[in-house]
Amino acid sequence: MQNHYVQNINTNDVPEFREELLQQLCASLLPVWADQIHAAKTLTSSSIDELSAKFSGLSQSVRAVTSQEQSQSNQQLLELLNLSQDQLATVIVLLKNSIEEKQTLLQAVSTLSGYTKNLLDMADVVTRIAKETGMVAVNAAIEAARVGDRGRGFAVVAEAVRRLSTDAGTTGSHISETVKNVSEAIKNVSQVSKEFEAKDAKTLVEAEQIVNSVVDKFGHTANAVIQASQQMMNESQHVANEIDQVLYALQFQDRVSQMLSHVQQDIEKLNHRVDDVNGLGSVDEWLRELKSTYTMREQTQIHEKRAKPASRFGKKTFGASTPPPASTSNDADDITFF
Amino acid sequence: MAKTILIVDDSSSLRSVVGTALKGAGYDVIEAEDGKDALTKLNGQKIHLIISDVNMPNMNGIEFLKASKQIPAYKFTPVIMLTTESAEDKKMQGQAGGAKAWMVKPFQPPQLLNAVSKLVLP
Repeated sequence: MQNHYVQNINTNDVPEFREELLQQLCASLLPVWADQIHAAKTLTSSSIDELSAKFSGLSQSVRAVTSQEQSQSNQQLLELLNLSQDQLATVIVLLKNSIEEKQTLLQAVSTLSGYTKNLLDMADVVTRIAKETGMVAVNAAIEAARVGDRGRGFAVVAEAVRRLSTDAGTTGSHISETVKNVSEAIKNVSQVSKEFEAKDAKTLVEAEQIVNSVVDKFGHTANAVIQASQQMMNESQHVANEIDQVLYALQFQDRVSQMLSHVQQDIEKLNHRVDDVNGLGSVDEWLRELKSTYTMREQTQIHEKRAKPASRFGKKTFGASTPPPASTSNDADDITFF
Repeated sequence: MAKTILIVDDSSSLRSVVGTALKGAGYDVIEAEDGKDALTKLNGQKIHLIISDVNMPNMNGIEFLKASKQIPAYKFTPVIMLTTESAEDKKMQGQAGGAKAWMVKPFQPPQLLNAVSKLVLP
């Protein structure tokens, strides 16, 4: 019915119809526009809120990865590497000490070998003395036989001396033989010890090489792990910073929401007043009222650039016009401490 | 022991943004969606700083600021007003209400954290 009415009015020719048409258009369209703006604002707000919550969660998750604990893990790995290096070096030192102790033992055995030669010499001396004593005993027996009965007692002594020298000679031979056996055993021990010494030296060199190789490989692997971890931390930090930048950029929603709210409120206010010509107010009053509700510099700047005061229409204006108040825009710093 | 900061803003996304910045710097965060909700959070728990918006439904930031200063436990709790409002008369209202700083949105996190570190007592 309204549309039919609107379509049949020649608005160019009949000013009063045009005014009525405008009134009806406002009554019909303004609530729709207000609701559309409200719906757009609500949709934007809920979507941005959801995005913000997700980005906030992402940011915290990524930061958890790059936390100090991760850095501490790397430090602990380095400390473990150094500790392993020290302890394995200690094992090598212990091996070296053990080999040195064996060498000392070998030297002691070699010294013993020197003593056996002295013992052999001494055994030879004993054998030689026994032989000479035996010769003396034989000569004494001959002399005792030559003097007859008076030498009989002396002959008994000479015989005893001869037996003693024979026994001493036998003992000297046994000592010499035993010392030779001992000397042979010592030589064998010495030979085996020398072989062990050579093997120990070889084992020590090999052990040192293996330990160094293991430590080097472990060190390379640990460094690679730490570098990869550090790189991951740097990348994660970069991602976290990027996410934060996205989050901060989403602040636009709060500002857009406020601007849309003001526009919606102003449309609703116009809708309420449009039915009452006396309550509609002048253009200048409207502009002042609009300006007084602004909270952001952008709103004030747009208003100052686009708003047309009543005087610019060159026609009759409605209601009293009073000078606008001083601008509320402010170019001061973004933060003020009191 | 992390310091606790109360964020008061009707915009959920703004609370997320501010909260993320503060948590990243090691602060604990409590959120409230307007002045009235914020007053219920001032229930005796230790709060080292309040960051509040100005234009909010139910109870705006200036009203909340004044109400919080009436509670003995929070009389000396520093308050930063974080708002799109940059008009001098609004700032003066904040100052008169006992705010310690006035910060205009959009903010940069280092700027906010710098202000927070200046106002949160060690």
